[in-house]
Amino acid sequence: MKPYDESEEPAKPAASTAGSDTGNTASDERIIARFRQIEFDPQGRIKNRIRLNLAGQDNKTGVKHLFGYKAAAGVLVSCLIIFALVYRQDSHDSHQPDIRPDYYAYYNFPSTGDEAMLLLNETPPDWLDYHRFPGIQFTGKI
Amino acid sequence: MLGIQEFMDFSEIYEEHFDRIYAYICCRIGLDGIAEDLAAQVFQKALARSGQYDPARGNIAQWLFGIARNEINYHLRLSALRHFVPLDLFSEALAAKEKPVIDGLSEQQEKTELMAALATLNARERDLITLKFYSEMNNREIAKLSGLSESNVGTILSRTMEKLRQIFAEVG
Repeated sequence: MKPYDESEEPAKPAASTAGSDTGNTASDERIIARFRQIEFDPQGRIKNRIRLNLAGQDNKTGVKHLFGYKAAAGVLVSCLIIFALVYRQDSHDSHQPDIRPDYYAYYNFPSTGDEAMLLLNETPPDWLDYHRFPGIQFTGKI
Repeated sequence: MLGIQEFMDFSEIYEEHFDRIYAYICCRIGLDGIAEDLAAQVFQKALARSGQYDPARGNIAQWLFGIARNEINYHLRLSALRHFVPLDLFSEALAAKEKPVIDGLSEQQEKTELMAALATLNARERDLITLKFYSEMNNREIAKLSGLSESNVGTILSRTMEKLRQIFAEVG
């Protein structure tokens, strides 16, 4: 059987499947026409179903993209950074000296500037020890 | 996610090529519900990989038929692995061929007769002849897609058409 020569391929497909016989070419054209005239999806139902699925797939792709692992990782890292900043700020505040006076304890009430400075320096005044009060010189004599 | 314009462009491609791709799939694997699944897979893959299409390597039809051919071959290989004989899909068509034609050929009868004719071909012949019928590719393009030489494709197509001519001469 003579193989088909591409350089001589005519526009009609049947001529590329038949030999040089004109009768064969016409017969092939009829066969090809019969195949091409078949409607495998005459109502277009399958075509519509697949079209709808494709539209759904495109939407799903978008949702997937929006909630993909990269976005989720970004949100997680942001949350961790915010939590760390808030925790650090809170911990820093906890080391501030508490200079609120205790109005029920007479000795804790800073009545003088020295006493206030002692509290600000986090040095609790020892009221029984006169040496702890820089403005008062203890002579040892009462 | 595709932009609206890209999706509209793909819709046009879908409208233009669906019928031929679906016909090719039906002719390759028979009239079965699997054809719909395979057609859906072909266009889903095409949509997902639309950015990979390279016009320098062929037109849209060649690209789509290439995807379809790969999907069908993959399906047939899986079927073989599952001890499933793909030609059984044509058994209904072969059985229907034996029934007498009463009042001319209806659309369904015509379809059944053509599918029965295809069922007599081997897998390679059926692949090449249906590509020829529906893809509108020339022998060189079919050779490129199928991995065969151009002269081999021409020989197989000639032989296959000769078989079909004989079948339809007997029927008609």
